[in-house]
Amino acid sequence: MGGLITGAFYALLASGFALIFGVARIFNLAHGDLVVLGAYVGEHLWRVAGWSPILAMPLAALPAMLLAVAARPLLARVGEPFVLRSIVLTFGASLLIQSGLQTTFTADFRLIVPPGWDRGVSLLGVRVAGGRLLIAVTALIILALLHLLFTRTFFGKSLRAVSLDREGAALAGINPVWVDRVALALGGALAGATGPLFAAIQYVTPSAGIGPTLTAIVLTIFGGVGSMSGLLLGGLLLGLAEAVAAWAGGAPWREVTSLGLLLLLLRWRGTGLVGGRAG
Amino acid sequence: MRKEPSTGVRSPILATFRWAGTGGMIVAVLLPVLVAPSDYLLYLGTMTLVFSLLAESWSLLAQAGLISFGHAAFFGIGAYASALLSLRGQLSPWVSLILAALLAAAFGLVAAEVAGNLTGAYFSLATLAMGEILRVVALHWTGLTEGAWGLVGVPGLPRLPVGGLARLVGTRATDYYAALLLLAAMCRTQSWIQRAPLGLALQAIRQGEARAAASGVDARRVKRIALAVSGLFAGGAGALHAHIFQWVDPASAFSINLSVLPLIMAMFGGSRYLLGPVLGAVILYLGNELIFQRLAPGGHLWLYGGAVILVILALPHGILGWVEALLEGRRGPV
Repeated sequence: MGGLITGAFYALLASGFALIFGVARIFNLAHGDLVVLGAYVGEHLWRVAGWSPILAMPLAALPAMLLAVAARPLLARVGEPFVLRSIVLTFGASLLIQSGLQTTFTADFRLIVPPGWDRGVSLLGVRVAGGRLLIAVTALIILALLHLLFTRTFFGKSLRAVSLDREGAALAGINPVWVDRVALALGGALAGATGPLFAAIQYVTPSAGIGPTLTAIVLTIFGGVGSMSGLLLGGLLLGLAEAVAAWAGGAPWREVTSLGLLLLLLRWRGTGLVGGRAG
Repeated sequence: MRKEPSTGVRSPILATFRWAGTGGMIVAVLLPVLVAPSDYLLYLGTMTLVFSLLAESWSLLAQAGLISFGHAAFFGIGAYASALLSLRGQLSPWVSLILAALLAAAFGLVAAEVAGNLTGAYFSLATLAMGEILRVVALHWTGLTEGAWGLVGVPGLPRLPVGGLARLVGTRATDYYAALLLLAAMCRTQSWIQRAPLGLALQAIRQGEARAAASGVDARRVKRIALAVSGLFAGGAGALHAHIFQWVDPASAFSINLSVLPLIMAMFGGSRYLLGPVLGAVILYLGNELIFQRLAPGGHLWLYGGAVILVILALPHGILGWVEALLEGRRGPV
């Protein structure tokens, strides 16, 4: 059960990454750092003003969104091979964000512990912490909204069109540059918004971004781009696999699981993915 | 493909680079004499060489367009293997260093097995995952590695006896010259590979694996060799690091920084040039230790992050690429 709940959160975590990678073809290694940035904003709001992490999500999304939008003119200057160079560039950005977080918030461990969140709730005969359930429900609602956005609105359809075929979309009158910009803003906002939930689940430090980044990569490679259900399925499987690994072999195995899955996925479907232009 | 890496002397500009390289080599050999009274300066020199070695080994893969995000894996294996062999196996540090480097090379073969069919971003991701997996293993396999405590009391390389030669170069000059020797061997290997058919095969792979295969290049075999050689020297750098500090722990041996630094240093200096990675290591490591740390302690992330963004946006072929373009511009088109 814990694995399923974590899975919904993972899918939300990966949604911003998948969106940016799918549309703008940017492999954003700073994704996890944007999540951590949002986490610090959420933690600050909680400690100073007592805001619940859920309430803090829109505000936490703001700085991450602004950063992602500000990076757009820089990314436009990146030469070929684009995916590879964008990886290196966002790695540099990741270092800068970590450094900024360290100076602003110090290297202390932070955690959001909202009152009452650890109270048990009975769900299908299994007792789970209420806060975690709330996180999972929030994640599912946001994923459902994204799903509607992608399938039901003209804007979402143009996002998917650009992701499938840039030139084709341009011929159909969609401006890919504009779509890129919106995808970056939305993807960055999603990463930031995930932050407060992240800080309610685990301790956060300025260098904690690598974990969420890897999780997002695993799910995106597994679930593909632009498909919320693929991400959700991947998230659930990963959450379950981690829970089983941690139960069978102890906590260290949890960390190795997602990395091992990444290697397996790469071996199986490595070159035939959406990122056919990677390289 | 605009420029050949410095394969032989093709243009007067590359000859200039070659002279600068020879000059640098002479300075490097004499450096312990110049800084003799200061152990600290000699230590800085040694560490610069260790990072140069790591960056140079990284750039061997870059010849084939393979951007490794996991060189910490080689470095850490070298560090732990040499520390364990000399500490628990009672081997001489010289022997353990060589065995550890060979073990890292063997891991290169394993990495080729896992990631050999991947290209571009996916190869980078696979190496990133491998490095992180090894870090977690080193952290939790306490029976072998003592976990987060690390291995303490690793024997150092033998010191020079006080007096005599040590008066001229300091007692810790063995560390320095061991690093210099390995770096020289790495550079020699690199320049030899660039001239050999293997170098052409690496470049062919960079320009597209399908095309390379069509012209008879066995990409998997070439990648296997490149990963093994790169691992050999990166492992040697790790082993040196362990013996210099006489201590290894997961945070220092498998730090993600050890995967990032060679990438940044090599790209900053110019990974297509033989001495580009060395130049990048010299500028960034010494710049960080001597200048940046004093102005803003802990601000090294700004320096490295800024350097890599600068390179990607403004200096696509690194500092040496920029210098070459500058010199070419002055002489007019050749």
